[in-house]
Amino acid sequence: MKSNNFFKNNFIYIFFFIYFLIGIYIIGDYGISIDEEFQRYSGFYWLNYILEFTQLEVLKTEVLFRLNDISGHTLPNPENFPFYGVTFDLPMAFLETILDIKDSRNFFLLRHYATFLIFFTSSIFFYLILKNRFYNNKIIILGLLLYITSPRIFGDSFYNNKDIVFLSLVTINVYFFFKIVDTLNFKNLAYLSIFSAIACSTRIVGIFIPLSFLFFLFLSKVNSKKSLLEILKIIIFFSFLFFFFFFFFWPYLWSDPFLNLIYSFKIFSEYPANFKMLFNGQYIDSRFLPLSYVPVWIAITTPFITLLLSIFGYLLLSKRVFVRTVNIREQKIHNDFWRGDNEKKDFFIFFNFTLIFFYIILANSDLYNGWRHLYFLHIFMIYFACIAIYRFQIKIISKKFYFLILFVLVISNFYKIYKYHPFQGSYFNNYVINKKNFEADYWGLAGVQFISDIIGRNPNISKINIGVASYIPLERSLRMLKRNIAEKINIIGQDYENSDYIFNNNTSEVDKKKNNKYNIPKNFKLISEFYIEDLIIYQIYKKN
Amino acid sequence: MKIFIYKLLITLVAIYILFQLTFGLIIKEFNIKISEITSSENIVIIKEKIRKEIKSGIKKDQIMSQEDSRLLKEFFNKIKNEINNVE
Repeated sequence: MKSNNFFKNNFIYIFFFIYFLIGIYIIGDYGISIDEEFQRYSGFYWLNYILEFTQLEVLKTEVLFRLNDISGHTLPNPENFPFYGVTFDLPMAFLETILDIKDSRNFFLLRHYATFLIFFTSSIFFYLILKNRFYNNKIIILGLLLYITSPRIFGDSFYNNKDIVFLSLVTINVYFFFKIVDTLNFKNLAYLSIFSAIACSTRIVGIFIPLSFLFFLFLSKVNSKKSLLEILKIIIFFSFLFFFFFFFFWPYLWSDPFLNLIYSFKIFSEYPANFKMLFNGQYIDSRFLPLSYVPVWIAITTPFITLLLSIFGYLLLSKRVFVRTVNIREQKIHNDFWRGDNEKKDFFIFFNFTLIFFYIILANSDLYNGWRHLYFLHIFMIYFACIAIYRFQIKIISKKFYFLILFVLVISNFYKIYKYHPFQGSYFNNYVINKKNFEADYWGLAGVQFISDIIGRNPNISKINIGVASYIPLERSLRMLKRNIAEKINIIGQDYENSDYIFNNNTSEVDKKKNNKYNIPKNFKLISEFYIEDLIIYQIYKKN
Repeated sequence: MKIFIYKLLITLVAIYILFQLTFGLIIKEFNIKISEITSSENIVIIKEKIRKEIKSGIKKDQIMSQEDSRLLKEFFNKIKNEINNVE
């Protein structure tokens, strides 16, 4: 009885402890994504820029040495892409230097550990959000499981130091917004302003957080008894802290704040590169996406139970917002859009999701690599799912049975995570009829496993030439391998004539139906395919 | 006043959505067509097509009709004369 109580009282600590241990245990299994090398480069570039303002000569020399050591013919120079936020990359460059990490595999493992720790922290914040809103332990645990076990999010939480970091920051911001709804004081305001500044300087799209906070302040003012002076004080305090930290965390803005900020906004909606990508069996232009692009990607890569519950939750909230909107009167006791703090929190989530989701679709924003740029919507989707779970349990008589079924369905996500490991980032749900119609390994995670496979097949050969029938810069995967192994491999891109093997992972920046850039020559034979369920991750071709 | 502001906001959003779903889509379709025509893949296809046509033309006994040949001959002669007469 005593031990049972101990388990009950400490369940959440045990849960997070086990999750943490699993994460740390499997982190070494993941490959390297194609953006990580550039992000490391960008981190050192901006660290070097900041150190120019200091007298730390020893550190300066070391950072400059590491910066000059980064090279690669496919690697873009951060000088030409300065608009990326460096809230993650710069501290990582600093840590790498301070810890004196020399091995290239450890450069990236450090980043993977940090990414996982950030997402792990965000899962704690998400737990606090659910605890703040729902009070029911079963809903809280279900919500938490949905948040963590969505296979794409789970996989990316080990290496995607762009989108997962941003998702984590959005989650932390939502928590502090909820705290402000409960208690509007300067401490909570300071937290929200700092974290929204960090989110915004990580990704400019994070601007929706301070803007929606101010909009909600305006909506609250309409029916509140607060004086205009009080509201003004809040706005000035919040804005001052926000802008201070926003500029502080984004060195790109230091030289010309106004123009550089405008340029960043422009880049957000119109990326300065265009390419083709496989979507639904057709090669489409990244600049002109069909309206169905985001909904289809979300629908085919989200577990069915999450998708279903999210849609129900969203519809339930839509109905409530519609009823509140048509009942707005000039004089009212309650606020126009909510009847209490919980409804206000729900409305905040509903409002932001609706605005972002439909704006991205309608404004024809440039997107590529599935919907990874919108992974921050994941927190909103899981929140909707929790709303649906909460509302259905009120109406269902057999609550035990209801939760049991939900737990079983959610736990099936674990099976998918296990099955796809370490390629959860390429997960598709079972409702995709032909997975060949979509790009799976668009971030080149398979590169490390492919090279290890080739080495395993040729342990005694001193040099192996590898061609690449994909846009993936495969040479970056060598950085995750031991030097003596990496030295055996010579990546020669599309020089198929001199290749011993060819790597193909079904990703292309050109229309493969019209362009023969990645056509495998006839003197090569398919010798191996690595696939999960019916999804091909990569293929190996060998010269006859 | 409050209701007026809400109505104004809702109307503006509705107009934006309507515009994007009508004119926005037409403009997008137009841009897609232009981008397809000017894409490098399409240029390669056109080049290949020209090559193919030239090759099949070479195999024929006569590429042009008598009338076209006469017309082109006169045209080239005229240009030739004009070039020769330049000071």
